[in-house]
This record gives sequence, structure tokens and C-alpha cells, in this order.
Amino acid sequence: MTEIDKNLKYRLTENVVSREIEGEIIIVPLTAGIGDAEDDLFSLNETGKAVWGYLDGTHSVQEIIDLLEKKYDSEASGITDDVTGFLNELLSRQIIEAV
Amino acid sequence: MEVIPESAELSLSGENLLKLMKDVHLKGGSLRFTAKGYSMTPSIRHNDVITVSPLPDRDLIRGDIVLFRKEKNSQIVVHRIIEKRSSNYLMRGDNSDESDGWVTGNMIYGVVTGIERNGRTKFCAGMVDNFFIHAILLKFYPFIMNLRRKAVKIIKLFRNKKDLNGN
Repeated sequence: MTEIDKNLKYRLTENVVSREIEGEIIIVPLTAGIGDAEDDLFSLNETGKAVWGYLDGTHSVQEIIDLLEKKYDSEASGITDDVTGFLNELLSRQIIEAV
Repeated sequence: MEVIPESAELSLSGENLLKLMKDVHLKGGSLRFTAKGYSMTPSIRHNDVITVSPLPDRDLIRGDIVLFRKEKNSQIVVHRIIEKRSSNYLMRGDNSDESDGWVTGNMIYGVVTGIERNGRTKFCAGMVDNFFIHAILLKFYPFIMNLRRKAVKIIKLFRNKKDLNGN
């Protein structure tokens, strides 16, 4: 697993379509021009959505962690692991890229 | 690390599927999903996986299978063009005796360029232009298919709020 640099900012790649549908964020990666709603469609839970909103290329990973720490009044270590793990998942699926 | 892949299901209506498809088409991509219904049998069977692509540069022709909105009830369906007059199209499901009526070109959102059944491709973009094949299908197999609800996977990539609060 790639080590996430907390100073980096991330944004969605060009090959991703996301849309909020009935309260869910639906993510469809485009692979070779195909958005595969059959085998490759994703959604996030509530906290995943909170992170997703910051993946606009303007917030560093550390800033996202700080914001979530305040929002959820939770321990930094837990938040850090969750955010970096989440970002690693998205990176491995080529859903996000570093700015 | 608390990254939790978890399968779940979310219903996606034909209307929402259309919104998603439009987003994908805006990026020049095609959308692949499972079709539900029997109106297009045998060309498209219940649970076949179809690929809907952006409208091509060429004119749509009789025999093309397209995703469109019905005039009479606004339902989103995938049917075949059986007649064309100017920019109006008469639609019908291969498994239906009656047509859906005429729709204008701006109610057509995409064209079917792929049909997979049991993991095998049965239809691809090249066949769209093959009027002879379509003429045979039209003669023997009228049809229609509804895009009702699509179950999608949900993967939890993050702990929920309750977990974060340590409850």
C-alpha cells in the first residue's frame, strides 16, 4: 500500500463520474471509455461522503484530517488511519490523483 | 486500518440511471449495466448486460436499439426504432405487438452498442448499421424492455460516524 503524503492535495481523476442519487454518492470509474455500472459501481457511507467533499484539490490530507477531527470530536490517530486508508483505496482504483 | 469493503445494495431507478448515463456520456464514455424486463426478448433478455453509448455522429436508423423517454408516460426504456420520419422515430419492443408511439429525436439519449449474455458478447457496435439483420429481427421478434431498478454494490470505504465517535 502506498504511503499517503499528508501534505498532498487530491482531486478526482478525469475518468471518474460521481453523482449524488437519493442521498448516496455513486461513483463510476471509466475504464477504457466504459462506465461499468454492472461490476464497478461504488457508493460511500456518511463519513466517506464527508471526506469525498474535500477531494477537490484544495485541501491537503492533513487539513482534511484536522477538519474531521473537529467535526467528529474523535482521536487524531483513528481519523488519520481512516482517511489515509480511504485515500489509498481510492488511489488504488484510480479514482483520485494528487494535484 | 478501518477500511471496510462491504457489499450492499442500492436501488437505482431508470430515471437515476439516465442521470448517471448522461454524466458518463458527457465524458465521452458508455455505460454498462444489467437490463431488466422481457419486452426486448430475444434480442435483449432479462438480466442481459447492455452497453449504452452516446448518440453517434450518423443519423439513427430503423433497427437501432436506443434508450429514450416515452412520450405518453415519461418512462425510460430501451426499444428499437421501427420507423423514421424526419426527426421523429416510431419505437417498439421486439416482444411487443404494439408500438410505443412516436418520439422526437431529443428524447433519445443513447444507443445500445453491446449486449452480453452469460458473459458472452451477443451484439456489438458494428451491428448497429446492419439493416438486414435488424429487418429480420423486426419481422420475427417485436420487443420492449423497461429499466426498472438496478441493484448496485455499495462498498464502505470508511468507518461510520458512530464508530468515529467511539460509540
